[in-house]
Amino acid sequence: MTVSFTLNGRARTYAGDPRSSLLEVLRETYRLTGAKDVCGEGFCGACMVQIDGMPTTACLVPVGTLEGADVRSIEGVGTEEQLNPVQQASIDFDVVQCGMCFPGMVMTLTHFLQDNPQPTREDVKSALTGNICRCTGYERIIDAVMSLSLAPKPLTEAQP
Amino acid sequence: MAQTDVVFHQPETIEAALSVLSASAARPAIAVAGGTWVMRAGLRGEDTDKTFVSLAKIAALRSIERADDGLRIGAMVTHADLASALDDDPAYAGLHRACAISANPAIRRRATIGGNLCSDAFMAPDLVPALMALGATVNLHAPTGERRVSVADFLDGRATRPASEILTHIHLPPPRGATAHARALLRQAGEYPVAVVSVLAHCRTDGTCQTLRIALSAVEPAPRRWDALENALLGRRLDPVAARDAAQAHLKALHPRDGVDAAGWYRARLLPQLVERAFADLTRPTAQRDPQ
Repeated sequence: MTVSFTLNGRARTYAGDPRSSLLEVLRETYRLTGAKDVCGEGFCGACMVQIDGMPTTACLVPVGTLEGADVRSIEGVGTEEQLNPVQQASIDFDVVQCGMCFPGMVMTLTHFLQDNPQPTREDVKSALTGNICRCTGYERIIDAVMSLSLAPKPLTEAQP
Repeated sequence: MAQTDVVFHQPETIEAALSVLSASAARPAIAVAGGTWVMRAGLRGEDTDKTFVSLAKIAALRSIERADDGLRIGAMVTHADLASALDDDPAYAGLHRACAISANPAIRRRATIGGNLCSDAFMAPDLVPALMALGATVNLHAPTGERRVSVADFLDGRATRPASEILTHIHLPPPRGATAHARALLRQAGEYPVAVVSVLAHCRTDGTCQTLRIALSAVEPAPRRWDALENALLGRRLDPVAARDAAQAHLKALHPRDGVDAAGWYRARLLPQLVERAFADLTRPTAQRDPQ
Protein backbone atom coordinates (compact mmCIF):
# COMPACT_ATOMS: atom_id res chain seq x y z
CA MET A 1 0.00 0.00 0.00
CA THR A 2 1.16 3.53 -0.73
CA VAL A 3 -0.12 6.80 0.67
CA SER A 4 -0.25 9.92 -1.47
CA PHE A 5 -0.48 13.32 0.14
CA THR A 6 0.78 16.86 -0.23
CA LEU A 7 3.70 17.89 1.96
CA ASN A 8 4.50 21.61 2.06
CA GLY A 9 2.85 21.99 -1.33
CA ARG A 10 4.67 19.10 -2.96
CA ALA A 11 3.03 15.79 -3.95
CA ARG A 12 4.50 12.82 -2.08
CA THR A 13 3.89 9.10 -2.25
CA TYR A 14 4.96 7.15 0.81
CA ALA A 15 5.50 3.41 0.44
CA GLY A 16 6.69 2.35 3.92
CA ASP A 17 4.71 1.01 6.88
CA PRO A 18 1.38 2.91 6.95
CA ARG A 19 1.20 2.45 10.74
CA SER A 20 4.24 4.67 11.22
CA SER A 21 3.57 8.03 12.78
CA LEU A 22 3.62 11.08 10.55
CA LEU A 23 6.41 12.41 12.80
CA GLU A 24 8.61 9.41 12.08
CA VAL A 25 7.95 9.72 8.36
CA LEU A 26 8.67 13.46 8.30
CA ARG A 27 11.95 13.02 10.12
CA GLU A 28 13.23 9.68 8.78
CA THR A 29 11.88 9.54 5.23
CA TYR A 30 11.71 13.19 4.21
CA ARG A 31 14.46 14.48 6.51
CA LEU A 32 12.25 17.31 7.71
CA THR A 33 13.48 17.62 11.28
CA GLY A 34 11.69 20.83 12.28
CA ALA A 35 8.96 18.81 14.00
CA LYS A 36 10.67 17.49 17.14
CA ASP A 37 10.38 14.02 18.62
CA VAL A 38 9.95 14.79 22.32
CA CYS A 39 7.20 13.25 24.47
CA GLY A 40 5.58 11.01 21.87
CA GLU A 41 2.28 11.35 23.74
CA GLY A 42 0.58 14.49 22.48
CA PHE A 43 1.37 16.43 25.66
CA CYS A 44 4.22 18.69 24.60
CA GLY A 45 3.34 19.95 21.10
CA ALA A 46 6.93 19.91 19.82
CA CYS A 47 5.86 17.84 16.79
CA MET A 48 2.88 20.03 15.87
CA VAL A 49 2.16 20.21 12.13
CA GLN A 50 -0.95 21.25 10.23
CA ILE A 51 -3.08 18.61 8.53
CA ASP A 52 -5.67 20.18 6.24
CA GLY A 53 -5.00 23.41 8.08
CA MET A 54 -5.53 22.07 11.60
CA PRO A 55 -2.70 21.89 14.15
CA THR A 56 -2.07 18.22 14.92
CA THR A 57 0.54 16.35 16.95
CA ALA A 58 2.35 14.37 14.25
CA CYS A 59 3.49 11.71 16.74
CA LEU A 60 -0.07 10.37 17.09
CA VAL A 61 -1.15 10.23 13.44
CA PRO A 62 -0.66 6.99 11.51
CA VAL A 63 0.55 8.06 8.09
CA GLY A 64 -1.86 5.59 6.45
CA THR A 65 -4.76 7.88 7.36
CA LEU A 66 -3.32 10.74 5.29
CA GLU A 67 -4.33 9.71 1.77
CA GLY A 68 -5.21 12.95 -0.02
CA ALA A 69 -4.32 15.14 2.97
CA ASP A 70 -2.56 18.49 2.86
CA VAL A 71 0.31 18.37 5.37
CA ARG A 72 2.29 21.45 6.29
CA SER A 73 5.29 21.40 8.60
CA ILE A 74 7.38 24.27 9.94
CA GLU A 75 9.58 23.98 6.85
CA GLY A 76 6.58 24.98 4.74
CA VAL A 77 5.23 28.10 6.45
CA GLY A 78 7.70 30.72 5.27
CA THR A 79 10.96 31.30 3.46
CA GLU A 80 14.20 32.82 4.70
CA GLU A 81 13.35 35.99 2.76
CA GLN A 82 9.70 36.07 3.82
CA LEU A 83 9.10 34.64 7.28
CA ASN A 84 5.64 33.79 8.46
CA PRO A 85 4.32 36.65 10.70
CA VAL A 86 4.57 34.51 13.86
CA GLN A 87 8.19 33.68 13.03
CA GLN A 88 9.02 37.35 12.36
CA ALA A 89 7.31 38.54 15.56
CA SER A 90 9.26 35.89 17.46
CA ILE A 91 12.52 37.35 16.22
CA ASP A 92 11.35 40.89 16.91
CA PHE A 93 10.41 40.01 20.50
CA ASP A 94 13.46 37.78 21.09
CA VAL A 95 11.20 34.87 21.92
CA VAL A 96 13.23 31.81 21.02
CA GLN A 97 15.50 30.29 23.62
CA CYS A 98 16.52 26.63 23.07
CA GLY A 99 14.23 26.26 20.04
CA MET A 100 12.90 22.78 20.84
CA CYS A 101 9.28 23.82 21.32
CA PHE A 102 9.36 26.54 18.78
CA PRO A 103 8.34 24.94 15.48
CA GLY A 104 5.27 23.55 17.22
CA MET A 105 4.45 26.92 18.76
CA VAL A 106 4.52 28.54 15.31
CA MET A 107 2.20 25.88 13.86
CA THR A 108 -0.31 26.28 16.70
CA LEU A 109 -0.20 30.08 16.82
CA THR A 110 -0.41 30.59 13.06
CA HIS A 111 -3.69 28.68 13.00
CA PHE A 112 -4.90 30.33 16.20
CA LEU A 113 -4.43 33.85 14.80
CA GLN A 114 -6.38 32.96 11.67
CA ASP A 115 -9.40 32.07 13.81
CA ASN A 116 -8.76 34.68 16.53
CA PRO A 117 -7.30 37.83 14.98
CA GLN A 118 -7.91 39.89 18.14
CA PRO A 119 -7.14 37.56 21.04
CA THR A 120 -6.76 38.39 24.71
CA ARG A 121 -3.68 37.17 26.58
CA GLU A 122 -5.91 34.57 28.24
CA ASP A 123 -7.04 33.33 24.82
CA VAL A 124 -3.41 32.89 23.80
CA LYS A 125 -2.64 30.95 26.98
CA SER A 126 -5.57 28.60 26.36
CA ALA A 127 -4.46 28.06 22.78
CA LEU A 128 -0.99 27.10 24.00
CA THR A 129 -2.25 24.48 26.46
CA GLY A 130 -0.71 21.73 24.35
CA ASN A 131 2.59 23.47 23.60
CA ILE A 132 5.07 23.22 26.42
CA CYS A 133 8.13 25.48 26.68
CA ARG A 134 10.62 24.31 29.29
CA CYS A 135 12.73 27.48 28.98
CA THR A 136 9.59 29.18 30.39
CA GLY A 137 9.53 31.87 27.77
CA TYR A 138 5.74 32.06 27.69
CA GLU A 139 5.31 35.74 28.49
CA ARG A 140 7.47 36.86 25.60
CA ILE A 141 5.72 34.41 23.31
CA ILE A 142 2.41 35.99 24.30
CA ASP A 143 3.86 39.50 23.82
CA ALA A 144 4.85 38.50 20.29
CA VAL A 145 1.39 37.12 19.52
CA MET A 146 -0.31 40.21 20.91
CA SER A 147 1.82 42.38 18.61
CA LEU A 148 0.11 40.63 15.68
CA SER A 149 -3.37 41.31 16.98
CA LEU A 150 -5.55 43.31 14.63
CA ALA A 151 -7.03 45.16 17.60
CA PRO A 152 -6.42 48.91 17.51
CA LYS A 153 -3.27 49.74 19.44
CA PRO A 154 -3.76 51.93 22.52
CA LEU A 155 -2.47 55.45 22.05
CA THR A 156 0.83 56.01 23.77
CA GLU A 157 0.83 59.79 23.51
CA ALA A 158 -1.74 62.49 23.07
CA GLN A 159 -2.63 63.35 19.51
CA PRO A 160 -2.12 66.95 18.49
CA MET B 1 2.22 -7.19 -0.73
CA ALA B 2 0.38 -10.44 -0.17
CA GLN B 3 -3.08 -10.07 1.36
CA THR B 4 -1.87 -11.58 4.65
CA ASP B 5 0.75 -8.83 4.91
CA VAL B 6 -1.70 -5.95 4.77
CA VAL B 7 -1.23 -4.10 8.04
CA PHE B 8 -3.52 -1.14 7.44
CA HIS B 9 -7.15 -1.08 6.36
CA GLN B 10 -9.41 1.92 5.91
CA PRO B 11 -12.87 0.49 5.22
CA GLU B 12 -15.79 2.77 4.31
CA THR B 13 -18.60 0.82 5.96
CA ILE B 14 -19.14 -0.77 9.38
CA GLU B 15 -19.74 -4.13 7.67
CA ALA B 16 -16.42 -3.96 5.83
CA ALA B 17 -14.61 -3.06 9.05
CA LEU B 18 -16.26 -5.98 10.89
CA SER B 19 -15.24 -8.31 8.10
CA VAL B 20 -11.56 -7.36 8.48
CA LEU B 21 -11.71 -7.45 12.28
CA SER B 22 -13.28 -10.92 12.34
CA ALA B 23 -11.05 -12.52 9.67
CA SER B 24 -8.42 -14.86 11.05
CA ALA B 25 -4.97 -13.44 10.37
CA ALA B 26 -1.33 -13.79 11.31
CA ARG B 27 -1.42 -10.77 13.60
CA PRO B 28 -4.19 -9.35 15.77
CA ALA B 29 -6.34 -6.61 14.28
CA ILE B 30 -7.27 -3.49 16.18
CA ALA B 31 -9.84 -0.80 15.43
CA VAL B 32 -8.21 2.64 15.30
CA ALA B 33 -10.35 5.72 15.97
CA GLY B 34 -8.50 9.01 16.62
CA GLY B 35 -5.25 7.13 17.25
CA THR B 36 -4.25 9.14 20.31
CA TRP B 37 -4.20 6.02 22.53
CA VAL B 38 -3.26 3.31 20.04
CA MET B 39 -0.26 5.24 18.72
CA ARG B 40 1.27 5.22 22.20
CA ALA B 41 1.13 1.43 22.61
CA GLY B 42 4.91 1.18 22.22
CA LEU B 43 5.50 3.61 25.09
CA ARG B 44 3.31 1.41 27.28
CA GLY B 45 5.35 -1.65 26.35
CA GLU B 46 2.47 -3.22 24.42
CA ASP B 47 2.66 -5.21 21.19
CA THR B 48 2.69 -2.73 18.32
CA ASP B 49 2.62 -5.25 15.47
CA LYS B 50 -1.14 -5.23 14.98
CA THR B 51 -3.21 -4.76 11.86
CA PHE B 52 -4.76 -1.29 11.99
CA VAL B 53 -8.39 -1.03 10.95
CA SER B 54 -8.91 2.73 10.74
CA LEU B 55 -12.52 3.83 11.22
CA ALA B 56 -11.81 7.32 9.86
CA LYS B 57 -13.55 6.80 6.50
CA ILE B 58 -16.83 5.44 7.88
CA ALA B 59 -19.15 8.44 7.54
CA ALA B 60 -21.91 6.76 9.58
CA LEU B 61 -19.75 6.96 12.70
CA ARG B 62 -19.32 10.74 12.54
CA SER B 63 -22.85 12.07 12.94
CA ILE B 64 -24.60 13.66 15.90
CA GLU B 65 -28.39 13.31 15.69
CA ARG B 66 -31.04 14.81 17.92
CA ALA B 67 -34.33 12.93 18.18
CA ASP B 68 -37.30 12.71 20.55
CA ASP B 69 -35.66 9.86 22.40
CA GLY B 70 -32.46 11.81 22.97
CA LEU B 71 -29.11 12.35 21.37
CA ARG B 72 -27.24 9.84 19.25
CA ILE B 73 -23.49 10.50 19.02
CA GLY B 74 -21.35 8.61 16.51
CA ALA B 75 -18.29 6.90 17.98
CA MET B 76 -15.90 8.84 15.72
CA VAL B 77 -17.16 12.24 16.89
CA THR B 78 -14.19 14.08 18.40
CA HIS B 79 -14.10 15.90 21.72
CA ALA B 80 -13.96 19.22 19.82
CA ASP B 81 -16.88 18.33 17.53
CA LEU B 82 -19.01 17.31 20.48
CA ALA B 83 -18.10 20.46 22.41
CA SER B 84 -19.29 22.66 19.53
CA ALA B 85 -22.45 20.61 19.00
CA LEU B 86 -23.42 20.94 22.69
CA ASP B 87 -22.24 24.52 23.08
CA ASP B 88 -25.41 26.36 23.98
CA ASP B 89 -27.37 23.50 25.50
CA PRO B 90 -27.51 23.92 29.31
CA ALA B 91 -28.93 20.42 29.73
CA TYR B 92 -25.56 18.99 28.70
CA ALA B 93 -23.39 21.45 30.65
CA GLY B 94 -21.40 18.67 32.37
CA LEU B 95 -20.67 16.75 29.19
CA HIS B 96 -19.84 19.96 27.36
CA ARG B 97 -17.31 20.87 30.01
CA ALA B 98 -15.81 17.37 29.89
CA CYS B 99 -15.16 17.49 26.16
CA ALA B 100 -14.28 21.19 25.94
CA ILE B 101 -11.48 21.21 28.53
CA SER B 102 -10.06 17.70 28.44
CA ALA B 103 -6.40 17.31 27.30
CA ASN B 104 -5.37 20.12 24.90
CA PRO B 105 -6.81 21.66 21.71
CA ALA B 106 -4.91 19.44 19.25
CA ILE B 107 -5.85 16.25 21.10
CA ARG B 108 -9.48 17.36 21.41
CA ARG B 109 -9.62 17.70 17.64
CA ARG B 110 -8.51 14.06 17.16
CA ALA B 111 -9.50 12.02 20.22
CA THR B 112 -12.96 10.50 19.80
CA ILE B 113 -15.81 9.67 22.15
CA GLY B 114 -15.69 6.01 21.06
CA GLY B 115 -11.94 5.82 21.60
CA ASN B 116 -12.33 7.35 25.05
CA LEU B 117 -14.78 4.56 25.96
CA CYS B 118 -12.80 1.71 24.37
CA SER B 119 -9.32 2.50 25.74
CA ASP B 120 -9.58 0.10 28.65
CA ALA B 121 -6.18 0.91 30.13
CA PHE B 122 -6.77 4.67 30.19
CA MET B 123 -7.65 5.51 33.77
CA ALA B 124 -8.43 9.25 33.64
CA PRO B 125 -11.09 9.89 30.97
CA ASP B 126 -13.34 12.95 31.27
CA LEU B 127 -16.04 11.90 28.82
CA VAL B 128 -16.79 8.52 30.36
CA PRO B 129 -17.97 9.76 33.79
CA ALA B 130 -19.95 12.57 32.12
CA LEU B 131 -21.71 9.95 29.97
CA MET B 132 -22.40 7.78 33.03
CA ALA B 133 -23.97 10.76 34.80
CA LEU B 134 -26.27 11.27 31.82
CA GLY B 135 -27.37 7.62 31.83
CA ALA B 136 -25.81 6.90 28.43
CA THR B 137 -25.91 3.57 26.63
CA VAL B 138 -23.54 2.37 23.93
CA ASN B 139 -24.40 0.51 20.76
CA LEU B 140 -22.11 -2.39 19.89
CA HIS B 141 -22.07 -3.91 16.42
CA ALA B 142 -20.67 -7.41 15.81
CA PRO B 143 -21.01 -9.73 12.81
CA THR B 144 -23.71 -11.58 14.79
CA GLY B 145 -25.80 -8.45 15.38
CA GLU B 146 -26.12 -5.33 17.49
CA ARG B 147 -26.60 -4.85 21.22
CA ARG B 148 -27.07 -1.88 23.46
CA VAL B 149 -25.65 -1.79 26.98
CA SER B 150 -25.21 0.78 29.72
CA VAL B 151 -21.82 2.46 29.98
CA ALA B 152 -21.26 0.71 33.35
CA ASP B 153 -21.91 -2.72 31.83
CA PHE B 154 -19.73 -1.87 28.86
CA LEU B 155 -16.84 -0.93 31.17
CA ASP B 156 -17.25 -4.15 33.15
CA GLY B 157 -16.87 -6.31 30.05
CA ARG B 158 -14.45 -4.06 28.22
CA ALA B 159 -11.22 -6.00 28.77
CA THR B 160 -12.69 -9.19 27.33
CA ARG B 161 -14.57 -7.77 24.36
CA PRO B 162 -14.39 -9.73 21.12
CA ALA B 163 -12.03 -8.11 18.60
CA SER B 164 -14.75 -8.26 15.96
CA GLU B 165 -17.06 -5.75 17.63
CA ILE B 166 -17.29 -2.03 16.97
CA LEU B 167 -18.77 0.56 19.29
CA THR B 168 -20.82 2.49 16.72
CA HIS B 169 -22.61 5.16 18.72
CA ILE B 170 -23.58 6.45 22.12
CA HIS B 171 -27.17 7.18 23.02
CA LEU B 172 -28.10 9.82 25.58
CA PRO B 173 -31.67 9.87 26.90
CA PRO B 174 -33.35 13.31 27.01
CA PRO B 175 -31.65 14.97 30.00
CA ARG B 176 -33.84 15.57 33.03
CA GLY B 177 -32.13 17.81 35.53
CA ALA B 178 -28.86 19.68 35.73
CA THR B 179 -25.36 18.33 35.15
CA ALA B 180 -21.91 19.41 36.31
CA HIS B 181 -18.35 18.19 35.84
CA ALA B 182 -15.49 18.97 38.25
CA ARG B 183 -11.89 17.92 37.81
CA ALA B 184 -8.59 18.50 39.56
CA LEU B 185 -5.23 18.84 37.83
CA LEU B 186 -1.82 19.21 39.40
CA ARG B 187 -1.02 21.82 36.77
CA GLN B 188 -3.32 23.54 34.32
CA ALA B 189 -1.43 22.73 31.15
CA GLY B 190 -3.23 19.88 29.46
CA GLU B 191 -2.42 17.03 31.81
CA TYR B 192 -4.58 14.14 32.91
CA PRO B 193 -6.88 14.98 35.79
CA VAL B 194 -5.98 13.27 39.07
CA ALA B 195 -9.64 13.11 40.09
CA VAL B 196 -12.94 13.77 38.30
CA VAL B 197 -16.53 14.00 39.57
CA SER B 198 -19.46 14.22 37.14
CA VAL B 199 -23.02 14.68 38.42
CA LEU B 200 -26.61 14.73 37.19
CA ALA B 201 -29.30 15.85 39.63
CA HIS B 202 -33.02 16.15 38.95
CA CYS B 203 -35.05 17.76 41.72
CA ARG B 204 -38.76 17.81 42.54
CA THR B 205 -40.61 21.12 42.84
CA ASP B 206 -39.94 21.07 46.60
CA GLY B 207 -36.19 21.03 45.84
CA THR B 208 -35.50 17.49 46.96
CA CYS B 209 -33.44 15.27 44.73
CA GLN B 210 -35.42 12.70 42.75
CA THR B 211 -32.68 11.42 40.44
CA LEU B 212 -28.99 11.59 41.26
CA ARG B 213 -26.08 10.08 39.40
CA ILE B 214 -22.52 10.70 40.57
CA ALA B 215 -19.65 9.23 38.55
CA LEU B 216 -15.94 9.18 39.39
CA SER B 217 -12.95 9.02 37.10
CA ALA B 218 -9.17 8.91 37.55
CA VAL B 219 -9.56 7.81 41.17
CA GLU B 220 -9.91 4.05 40.73
CA PRO B 221 -8.52 2.05 37.77
CA ALA B 222 -11.79 2.56 35.85
CA PRO B 223 -14.57 5.16 36.06
CA ARG B 224 -17.62 4.16 38.06
CA ARG B 225 -20.79 5.41 39.70
CA TRP B 226 -20.38 6.36 43.36
CA ASP B 227 -23.64 4.71 44.38
CA ALA B 228 -23.02 4.90 48.13
CA LEU B 229 -22.87 8.70 47.88
CA GLU B 230 -25.87 8.82 45.55
CA ASN B 231 -27.94 6.86 48.07
CA ALA B 232 -26.82 9.11 50.90
CA LEU B 233 -27.90 12.27 49.06
CA LEU B 234 -31.02 11.09 47.25
CA GLY B 235 -34.23 12.69 48.55
CA ARG B 236 -32.33 15.62 50.06
CA ARG B 237 -31.98 19.17 48.79
CA LEU B 238 -28.93 20.08 46.71
CA ASP B 239 -26.50 21.47 49.25
CA PRO B 240 -22.83 21.71 48.26
CA VAL B 241 -21.51 21.64 51.83
CA ALA B 242 -23.72 18.72 52.86
CA ALA B 243 -22.65 16.88 49.70
CA ARG B 244 -18.99 17.50 50.54
CA ASP B 245 -19.47 16.14 54.06
CA ALA B 246 -21.30 13.08 52.79
CA ALA B 247 -18.49 12.44 50.28
CA GLN B 248 -15.96 12.66 53.11
CA ALA B 249 -17.94 10.10 55.07
CA HIS B 250 -17.98 7.66 52.15
CA LEU B 251 -14.31 7.81 51.11
CA LYS B 252 -13.32 4.67 52.98
CA ALA B 253 -15.22 2.35 50.66
CA LEU B 254 -13.24 3.51 47.61
CA HIS B 255 -10.13 1.81 46.25
CA PRO B 256 -8.05 4.71 44.93
CA ARG B 257 -5.09 3.91 42.73
CA ASP B 258 -1.50 5.05 43.06
CA GLY B 259 0.02 6.59 39.94
CA VAL B 260 3.13 8.51 39.00
CA ASP B 261 1.09 11.73 38.95
CA ALA B 262 -0.59 11.26 42.33
CA ALA B 263 -0.91 8.77 45.16
CA GLY B 264 -4.24 7.09 45.81
CA TRP B 265 -4.81 8.78 49.16
CA TYR B 266 -4.41 12.16 47.48
CA ARG B 267 -6.94 11.40 44.76
CA ALA B 268 -9.46 10.38 47.42
CA ARG B 269 -8.70 13.46 49.50
CA LEU B 270 -9.63 15.71 46.55
CA LEU B 271 -13.06 14.15 46.11
CA PRO B 272 -15.05 15.99 48.81
CA GLN B 273 -13.94 19.34 47.35
CA LEU B 274 -14.76 18.22 43.82
CA VAL B 275 -18.20 17.03 44.93
CA GLU B 276 -18.80 20.39 46.60
CA ARG B 277 -17.68 22.24 43.48
CA ALA B 278 -19.92 20.12 41.23
CA PHE B 279 -22.94 20.60 43.49
CA ALA B 280 -22.27 24.34 43.62
CA ASP B 281 -22.27 24.35 39.82
CA LEU B 282 -25.60 22.50 39.72
CA THR B 283 -27.24 25.26 41.69
CA ARG B 284 -26.01 28.28 39.71
CA PRO B 285 -26.68 29.55 36.18
CA THR B 286 -24.38 28.14 33.47
CA ALA B 287 -22.80 31.49 32.66
CA GLN B 288 -21.52 31.95 36.19
CA ARG B 289 -19.85 28.60 36.53
CA ASP B 290 -16.40 28.05 37.91
CA PRO B 291 -14.04 28.20 34.92
CA GLN B 292 -11.47 25.82 36.50
